[in-house]
Amino acid sequence: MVLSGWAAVFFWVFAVAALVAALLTILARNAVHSALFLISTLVSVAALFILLGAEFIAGVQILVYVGGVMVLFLFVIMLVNVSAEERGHELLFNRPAQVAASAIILALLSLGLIYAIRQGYDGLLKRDQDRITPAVAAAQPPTQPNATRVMRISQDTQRVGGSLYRYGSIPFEVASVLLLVAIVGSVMLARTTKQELAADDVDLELLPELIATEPELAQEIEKLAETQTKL
Amino acid sequence: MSQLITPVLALLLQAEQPTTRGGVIWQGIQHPDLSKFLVIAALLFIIGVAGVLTRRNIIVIFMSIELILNAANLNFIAFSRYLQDAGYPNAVAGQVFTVFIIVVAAAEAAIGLGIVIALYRNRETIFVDKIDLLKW
Amino acid sequence: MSILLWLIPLLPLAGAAVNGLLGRKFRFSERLIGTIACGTVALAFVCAVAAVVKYANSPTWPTPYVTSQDGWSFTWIAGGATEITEGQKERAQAGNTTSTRNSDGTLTASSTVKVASARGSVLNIEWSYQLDPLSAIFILIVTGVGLCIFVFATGYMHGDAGYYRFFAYMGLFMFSMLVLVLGSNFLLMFVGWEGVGLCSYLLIGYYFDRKEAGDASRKAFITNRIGDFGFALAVFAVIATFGTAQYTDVMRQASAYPIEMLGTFGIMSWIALGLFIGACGKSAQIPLYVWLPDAMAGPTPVSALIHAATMVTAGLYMVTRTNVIFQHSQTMMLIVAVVGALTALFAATIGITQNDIKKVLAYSTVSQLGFMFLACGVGAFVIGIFHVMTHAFFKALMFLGAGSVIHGMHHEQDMRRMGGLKRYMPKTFWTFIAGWLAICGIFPFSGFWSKDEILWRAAGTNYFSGGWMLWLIGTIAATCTAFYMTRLVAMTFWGRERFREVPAGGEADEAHAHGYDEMGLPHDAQLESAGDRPRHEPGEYVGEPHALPHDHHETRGGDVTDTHAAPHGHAIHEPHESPASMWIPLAVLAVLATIGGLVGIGPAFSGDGHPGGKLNIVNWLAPVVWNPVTKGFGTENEAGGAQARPATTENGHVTAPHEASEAAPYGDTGYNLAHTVERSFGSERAAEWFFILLSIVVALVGMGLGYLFYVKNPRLPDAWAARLRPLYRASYHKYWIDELYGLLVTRRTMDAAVGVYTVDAKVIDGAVNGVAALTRRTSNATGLFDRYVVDGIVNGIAYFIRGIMSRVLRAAQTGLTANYALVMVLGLVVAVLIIFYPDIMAAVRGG
Repeated sequence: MVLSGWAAVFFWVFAVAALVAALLTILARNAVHSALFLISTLVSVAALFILLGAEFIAGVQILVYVGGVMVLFLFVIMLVNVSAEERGHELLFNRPAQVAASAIILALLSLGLIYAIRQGYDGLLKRDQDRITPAVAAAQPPTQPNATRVMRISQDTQRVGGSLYRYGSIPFEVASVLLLVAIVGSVMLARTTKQELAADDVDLELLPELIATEPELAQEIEKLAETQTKL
Repeated sequence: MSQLITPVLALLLQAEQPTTRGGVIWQGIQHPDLSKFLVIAALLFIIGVAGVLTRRNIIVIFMSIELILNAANLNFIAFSRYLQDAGYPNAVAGQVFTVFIIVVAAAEAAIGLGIVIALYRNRETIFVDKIDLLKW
Repeated sequence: MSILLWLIPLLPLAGAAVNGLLGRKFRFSERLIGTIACGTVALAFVCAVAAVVKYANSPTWPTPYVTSQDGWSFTWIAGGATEITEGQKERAQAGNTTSTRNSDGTLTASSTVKVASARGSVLNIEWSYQLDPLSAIFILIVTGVGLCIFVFATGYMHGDAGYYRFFAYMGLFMFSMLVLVLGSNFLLMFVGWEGVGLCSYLLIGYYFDRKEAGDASRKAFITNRIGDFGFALAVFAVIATFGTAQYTDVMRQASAYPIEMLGTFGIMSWIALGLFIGACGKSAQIPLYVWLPDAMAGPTPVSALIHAATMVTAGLYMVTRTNVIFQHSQTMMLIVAVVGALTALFAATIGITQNDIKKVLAYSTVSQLGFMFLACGVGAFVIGIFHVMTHAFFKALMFLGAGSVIHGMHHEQDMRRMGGLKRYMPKTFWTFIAGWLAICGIFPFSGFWSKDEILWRAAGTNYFSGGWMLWLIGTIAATCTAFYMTRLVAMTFWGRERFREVPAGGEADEAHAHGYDEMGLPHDAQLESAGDRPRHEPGEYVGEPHALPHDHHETRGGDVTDTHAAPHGHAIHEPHESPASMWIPLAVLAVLATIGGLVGIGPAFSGDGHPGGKLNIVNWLAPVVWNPVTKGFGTENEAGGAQARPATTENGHVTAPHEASEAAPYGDTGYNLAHTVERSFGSERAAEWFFILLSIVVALVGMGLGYLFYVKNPRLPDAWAARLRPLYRASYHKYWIDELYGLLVTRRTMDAAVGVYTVDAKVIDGAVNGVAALTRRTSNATGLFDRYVVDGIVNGIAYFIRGIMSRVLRAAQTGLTANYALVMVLGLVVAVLIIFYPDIMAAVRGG
């Protein structure tokens, strides 16, 4: 698998973009900026996916991540108060000791990973040498746009879908259940005390404590009791 | 404009047999292969871990986790493509896995952000070093 | 045809499953349960008729049809390679010639029989059904007579709380019985064999709240176990000898084996012995007959279906099915015949003195089964099966008639409290008369044809010497049969209306009085005389109330003590005729009992051979029976027999005694009564007429004696009982066989159990307790070790950690997630280092 020509150019463009945007994500003071940089990273990675011939996954990445998850992030950022951080009243990073230790360890880890990748990739090439050479020779510049390109995309997508449903059908169903659980769970988690009261889902032993922290709850309870007696 | 850039790029991108060490590196840049993708993914991963370890804002930490997951996705796709080119035309397990990872990431984001909201409502903070309930 | 054969057993099973599994849950009405049960059995009957008609008209007629030919089978037990271990000597002697049938129908000894090779074979037991003349007869009897009895039972069991349960068991029984007779190998027969045994157990113990029913069911089950043990051994021996269990293969191989004469007891004799022990258990022969009379504790339709018409004839089916093996052993033929004859006489003499109407019929059944075994033993297997069929007709009829009487008498079954019922139950009476004449052997009722031919064959047997003694025993037994059956009819239907009299005490009364003394409390099980009584719940509607002056205890439960204020609750009942659902089956069976014997009309009436071609049961069954003279199946065709049918079919009539004697496969058997008679009268026909007339005379004598004793002069029985007191007592107490068995077997088993218990209590428990004590000692020692050494180490470590380490470890726990995550990543780095350490060192060294 070797890219060349314009594909190589685009690879470097998007790779660098992804890395820079990722760095900015963790360095930005404003959380909204962080989210926007993260979106850039995700889009760049999606472009890399396309370079790798995984058009379907790229589409999923854009739709689900950028369209779904990141919007969720932005909503949450707006729901919680992050102004203190924005205005520089609060520190951006953890304690210096933690940051320093992290930097050292991560530097070590990145060195180790890159070394491992180089060594491992050489071994991999050696292993697959006799397979790759004819395959590459047979597959003429795979990224060359031609009349059959569209066909190849749809074939690839078809293959992914086929194996998703044929070999991964049970995990697929389990994943859908997981999503359902996640929906229900987040709804349960995000309820306010008032909503919990309305659903009669508050621990009675905790109620005095809650009222102490939120005095307006007492009025709510009275109101609820009235409506219930009316009913 | 394109008439201007194309010959330059063509000069840059022309294939030649590397002789020097710099030539080898240049050839690697000209023809990025699997290892480049893996390195990019590794760096994305490192950045993500760094975000998790150093940031105080829990929302940014979540974003960093998304970065880590994306690095894994990139690895999966790159290997899937590599295997396809190595003569396994049906090696799409990497792509299938990526779909599942995206699903899990979505679920994790939904639950995690729900927890963030509940946390913020109860403790009025989103800074992880203010929350030391693990120490009891 | 295969699907028909598969449907025949499955239909009753489906009915049983529906009734048994859903009947209680969904509270099926009696009508629905009865419709399901009778409907499935009727459908099975239709299937059976269709299959048999199709089979009879097929060109391959006498060849057994096995459903696996058409792929309607599955491998039930994949046994794999089986080594043949038994009967090596006999196999070596096995003649490799056998008879084949020429185009003109005669038998020639020419072809080679393949005996399984000594190295063994592949044993795959298949589940398939076989239709041949023998199983055809049996499925028709089982489904046909069974249908009559099912219909009868819908009326008889009316109002019973366990209606659904009864019909579920009955359906299950039909299934098992049909598998027994239809199965194509010994193991399938064993499945059916055990299945009918189980259903018999369940149905005898149907009124499980009565102790006697529970005891009787256990007795039947355990006694049958003894027989089944023999049967199982025989099946193992068959597999070990022939390497297969499929009938067709076994019979083909077995016919090549040498005949074992009196005195030698080879493998064929052993197999036959095992099979015969099984047959004795199931078909209630000496010495295993004791369960059958007690089995009358079950409901009367059960007695009719299982303990008279079908299940108890399974032994006959098995002996006839394996007649090749039996005919290979002269010893076993003799044993079968002697056991049969003795059982016939023995049970008949007991039947004379019994007072319970069902007990009389039970002993009569044992006796008739003895006749059938006598027929098999003297080589007349076909006639044995013929008697099975006629017996199924008339004995089912008589049992159902008895059931009708019991029903009409409100669950009274002591004949001393009956009498004069003819006026009250005319339909029952007239149908019963047909059964009575049939069992006594009066021309032309069905029993006459079969019983007469059995006696004639016994007289003329050439399988061993001394046939005339068997004939004599059989004739005496036939006289006794006629006598006690006349007594039964006389006591039940004629004479004084004794049910109007206050009971003067008797066997049944003593039984409850005894029960009272023993229990001290009124108990369901001891409330009434031995009677099978449908249970009615209090307040349950049980049909039209009988016009009676006072309440009888058909409804019981609430006022138990009240019913016992009267002397044992035997109130005077007005007998009544049974409903249509009960007398119509009786009428059908009466017609069969009257004319059913005509299918086996004997040669004496036609001049030559059994007339009617395939329609004559004797010709129909002939291909099933092995012929020791020709060493082939079926008989040699005679000119007369061959005229009516195509030359290619294998029918002919069974070897008449004089024909077989020409070749004398069993050697010289000495004096032969039939031959003597034949010589003195000059012709075979005349000799046959002589035996026919003799048997009718004998039946008339028995009936005349019965008439004299129980109608003409009712004081005679008591006088003769006093005169022959020892004999009377012996017969009345059933020769004390039950007591003898109790002493010899049951007591000894108990003693053995006590001995085993003693061993268990003293030796085994002692060992166990000793080990326990030893363990306790050791555990004390290890406990000390644990307390001081192990705990010391543990506590020491704990002190060390608390004193020194806690400060360090506490500082590490910041409670901040980020710190923990950092440690995780540190762990990752360490892991990468460990994994790649050699590579890194190599890279560093290499530069």
